[in-house]
Amino acid sequence: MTVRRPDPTPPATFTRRDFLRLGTLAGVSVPVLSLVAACGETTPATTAAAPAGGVPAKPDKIVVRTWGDPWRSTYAEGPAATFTQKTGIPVEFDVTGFSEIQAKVQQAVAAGQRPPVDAVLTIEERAFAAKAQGISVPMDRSLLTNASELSSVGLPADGSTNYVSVSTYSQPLVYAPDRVQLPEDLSWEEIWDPRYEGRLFVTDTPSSLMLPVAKMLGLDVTSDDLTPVWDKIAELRPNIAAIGDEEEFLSGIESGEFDIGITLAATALEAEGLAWVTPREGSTVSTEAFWIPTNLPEETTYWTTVFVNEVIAAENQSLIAANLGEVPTNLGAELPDFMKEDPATFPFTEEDLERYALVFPVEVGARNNDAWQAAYTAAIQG
Amino acid sequence: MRDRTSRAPDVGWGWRLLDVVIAVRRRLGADRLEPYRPYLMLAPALALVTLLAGGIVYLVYLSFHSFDTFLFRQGPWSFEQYRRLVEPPSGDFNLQTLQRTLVISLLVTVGAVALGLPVAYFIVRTRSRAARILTLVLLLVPFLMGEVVRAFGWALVLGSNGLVAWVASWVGADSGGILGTPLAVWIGMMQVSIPLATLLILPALTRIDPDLERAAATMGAPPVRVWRHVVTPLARPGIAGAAAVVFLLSVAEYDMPAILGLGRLPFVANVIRSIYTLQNNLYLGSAFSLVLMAISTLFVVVLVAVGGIRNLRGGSDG
Repeated sequence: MTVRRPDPTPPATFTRRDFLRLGTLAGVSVPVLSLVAACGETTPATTAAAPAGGVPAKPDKIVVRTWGDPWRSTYAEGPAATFTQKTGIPVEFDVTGFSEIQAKVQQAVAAGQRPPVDAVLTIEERAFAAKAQGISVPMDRSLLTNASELSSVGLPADGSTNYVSVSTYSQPLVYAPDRVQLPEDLSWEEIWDPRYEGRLFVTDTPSSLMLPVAKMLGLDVTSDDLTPVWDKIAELRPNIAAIGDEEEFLSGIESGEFDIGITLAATALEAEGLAWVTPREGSTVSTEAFWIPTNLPEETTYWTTVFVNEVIAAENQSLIAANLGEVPTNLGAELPDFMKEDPATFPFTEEDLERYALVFPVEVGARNNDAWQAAYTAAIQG
Repeated sequence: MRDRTSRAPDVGWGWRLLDVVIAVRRRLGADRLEPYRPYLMLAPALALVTLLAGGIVYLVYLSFHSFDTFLFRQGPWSFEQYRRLVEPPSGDFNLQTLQRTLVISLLVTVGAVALGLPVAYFIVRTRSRAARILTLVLLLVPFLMGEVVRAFGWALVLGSNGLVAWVASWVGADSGGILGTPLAVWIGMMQVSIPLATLLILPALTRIDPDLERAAATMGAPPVRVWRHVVTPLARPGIAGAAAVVFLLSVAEYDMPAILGLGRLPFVANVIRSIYTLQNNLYLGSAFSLVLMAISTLFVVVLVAVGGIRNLRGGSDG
């Protein structure tokens, strides 16, 4: 194709087709080369601690990733408020999804840039993975003055301080008592009963079911072949009405799509008229933890550690228990009555944890997350 | 009374501004760019295509590498992700998901085109302007709300306490609603696919000369035969185009399977989301994305080949 020219300028030898070819080549090459460059080795994590020589300057603010309400409002009302009151540093919240924020921090650290948030509240296995990936810093133990009051699940088992666990949650059977009656003493085997066909909700992540099933089958998830676990979960399919997260559980059970669900006990508190029971094998107990990314200014790391210490203060832990329905890790916190009355669902003391909880094995879980999630998804949706 | 002279200074300023623009243009020698104007006008489209192509190249790059999700570390070039797609424990599940996605998308495509064609024909041939406008407005209504809102609306209708269950119980049938079934997903997807197909078929029908239909009728062809041998062949490029667009949008559907399928009937997009966010494995997700894209592209190529779209003017070989 030639281009019609209105004036006697030199004839074009560069056609529109050439232009398209060149443009496409350049356009494709630039992102490809950039991406290839970006996919190199990640920047090694730096270790940040309290700066020598006293209290560092205060940042304008700190940005904390949490889940949306009621998490954000609870953290704003409790630890953020007391932290700002004591330090004058405002706290902003970021409610980016927990997978997305992990990826964003990874990308920022790899590019040598400052991460988008100063602290991340996430599930413990992701906090553990952040440590292994070198994108979290160990927190200065001397700033974590409240850590001495934490239970055994409060700090990483290896003695490090790359994350601090702030609350635990269990995943019992939650049901609508006006539509179904569950015995107070039951086994997890109960939900395989054909009379619950099409009446059960399960979560889209494996931890809620795989630990109880492994215990039923006498298997150890940290060392045994888990094929029998996935096979057993697959046998549950006829009873499964819906699969999803906490919001989907709430909307579905309120609209009558199912009568029983395996979900967070805290979720049951968000709707009226729901009851819950923890089967005799116990239910999965997982932990939420804070970690601080690397590549932050030293003073930001310092003050963010102070904020994390505020989160695990007994008074704020009591608020977390009351508002979120999650069990505090600070043994000095005050529990609401419904927690005190049900230690099987809300294990608090070391004795409760030992007796009732199927504590999620963080390291093995983090290392096998990809494989376990794939196997579980295939088992329940296949 | 309105002061007409008050606008005169604005006109003067407007012309002066134009003079300034022309002067700046001459100073810059912008006229010399005139021969290149077609290229410059292509630039935005080229930038968009390049951006998309760059994204696809990135997906290809990722999909052919191994990846440690725990350490978030890329490994060497490998077919590992494609192997994982077909091997246990996910192989059968992935295949089943792909089949479900393609079958329901095809059914949506067929349904949308079959129902959209007569609606489009009605809009083109009706003599009532009011009926034409009303139909067009009704077609546009589904586009005025978000997909998630539409999905939850359908969940209320199709759920165990919804309209369908109520009607079923009224006629004596025992129904707990149809949420969580392929039918519910199909219905939800049809709501926006029918208007889309109708609007895409409209231009093709507008170009059909009504005299051709009258001539066929004069020769004794009944309406069904006129429709079959005159209207449909001439509308074939529009039908093929509508089918391609509806199918491509359907295979990428996320919200309807998630909400109306109650999480039990995932489409490929739902599984890819799970792989990305729950498995934290964008490399495996990239591989599945490319498989779906390849199959979708193949479908469109076949459709274009058999659909009679021979050039961009919409010519028909019928």
